Amino acid sequence: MAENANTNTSSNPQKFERETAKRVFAHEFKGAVPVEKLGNDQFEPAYVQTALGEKINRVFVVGVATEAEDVSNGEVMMRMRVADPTGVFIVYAGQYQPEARDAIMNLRVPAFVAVVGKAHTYAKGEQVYTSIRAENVNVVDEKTRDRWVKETIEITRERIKNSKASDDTKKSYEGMVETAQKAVSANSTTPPAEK
Amino acid sequence: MNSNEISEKFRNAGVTVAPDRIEKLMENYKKFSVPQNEVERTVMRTLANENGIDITALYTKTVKIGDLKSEDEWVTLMAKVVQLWDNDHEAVSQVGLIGDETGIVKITVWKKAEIPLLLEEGKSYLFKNLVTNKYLDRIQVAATPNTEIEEIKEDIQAKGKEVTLSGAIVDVINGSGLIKRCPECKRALVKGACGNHGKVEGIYDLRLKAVLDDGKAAYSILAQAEIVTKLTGITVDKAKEMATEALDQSVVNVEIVKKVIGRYFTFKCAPIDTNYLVKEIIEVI
Repeated sequence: MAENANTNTSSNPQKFERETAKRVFAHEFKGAVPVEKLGNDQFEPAYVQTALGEKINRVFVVGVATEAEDVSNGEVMMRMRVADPTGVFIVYAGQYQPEARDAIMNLRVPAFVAVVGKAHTYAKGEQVYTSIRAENVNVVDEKTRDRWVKETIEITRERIKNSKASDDTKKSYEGMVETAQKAVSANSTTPPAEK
Repeated sequence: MNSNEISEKFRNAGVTVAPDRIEKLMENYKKFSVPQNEVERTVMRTLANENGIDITALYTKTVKIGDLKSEDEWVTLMAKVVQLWDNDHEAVSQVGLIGDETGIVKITVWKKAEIPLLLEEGKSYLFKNLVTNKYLDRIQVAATPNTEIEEIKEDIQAKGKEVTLSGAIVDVINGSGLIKRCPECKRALVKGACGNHGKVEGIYDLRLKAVLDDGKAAYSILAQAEIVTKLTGITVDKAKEMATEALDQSVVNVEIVKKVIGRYFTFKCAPIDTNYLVKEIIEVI
């Protein structure tokens, strides 16, 4: 037990809190916009904000990888599409995410994958594109995906309830949650189609 | 502090001193323009000596562990010994954790404190006049020569011995997998050397340091070999084999990462500082 005391003392003496990995459906994530930094702290994390008002730095998503390709252009970069019941996440991993990059490289699509990463945005003209810069990517199974969808439904419902967004916006996201709900209910009654 | 407040302090320590008398003593110092806090201190010391009580008894406050905030304070606690650690510092008599219903705090009993009794795990005590200090922003308490410890009959309930955490593992932290520990103090070796004992022949062990995240909060969890084996099917022997075969210790970590990242777990954990030690696996999805 003395060992635990020792490992604790080596923890960061500054108050550093790890960003929670938010659960968010692809459809909500897609519409997120960057939050401007306050600029008084060089280590200030970058956030995006969704239409329901959720501020996101790190995300955790589980879905089906439908496409994984090498998009290296001067620098090494892998791109992957991950589908959930509401839409698609675009996931990138480059030279600074070697583990995630290797995991995507070794992936055989389609496959259930879990992705932990940072939310990124890229603006081109009027259009803002959101993506995930992966920190960890791993192959999981259908049960994990279903659990993620159920959890994300719950969290999103709560988010809608507490959101200051307009009633129209809330309604459209309620529709999104219903779509997700149908997808998991369908899964639990029918056996998996493939194999 | 005025004479009434000082009188109050003495009353708490079981001694009655009339405010008039305190007033008079304080008056004596007025013409010397001595700073007020020095006057208070001197007066209190004089009165404490007169009444044969220890001055620290006047400063101590009976508090709950959850209320401990500032360092260098005298405090009196009623708490249960939650855990005692191995101790090989010669200046320290005992070291471990004590807890009450509001929290748990690390306690160091110095040899110099000459406490006549030895603390035992699971027993409750009245700790009179402990002194607080801070290490890396964390409050600890220590028994010094002014401290008295007596066992009490009451069974104090220590807070939060075990909590259930549920979520997905989103990260595996460095220092997981196959590691070597110092044979003397069990600390993990860094580059083959122990922080206390230098270069030693390490003993192999398996552990997992990870982040469990439920979408609302991220928890640092710690799992020892037995739990790691249950989660991944890898035993210490198997891990050694894997490392020998690959000529690389990190293959074990890679395998653990594949087994746990992105998956959901429910654990029963014991909180230790800011970490959670996994005691039991309740569910794996």
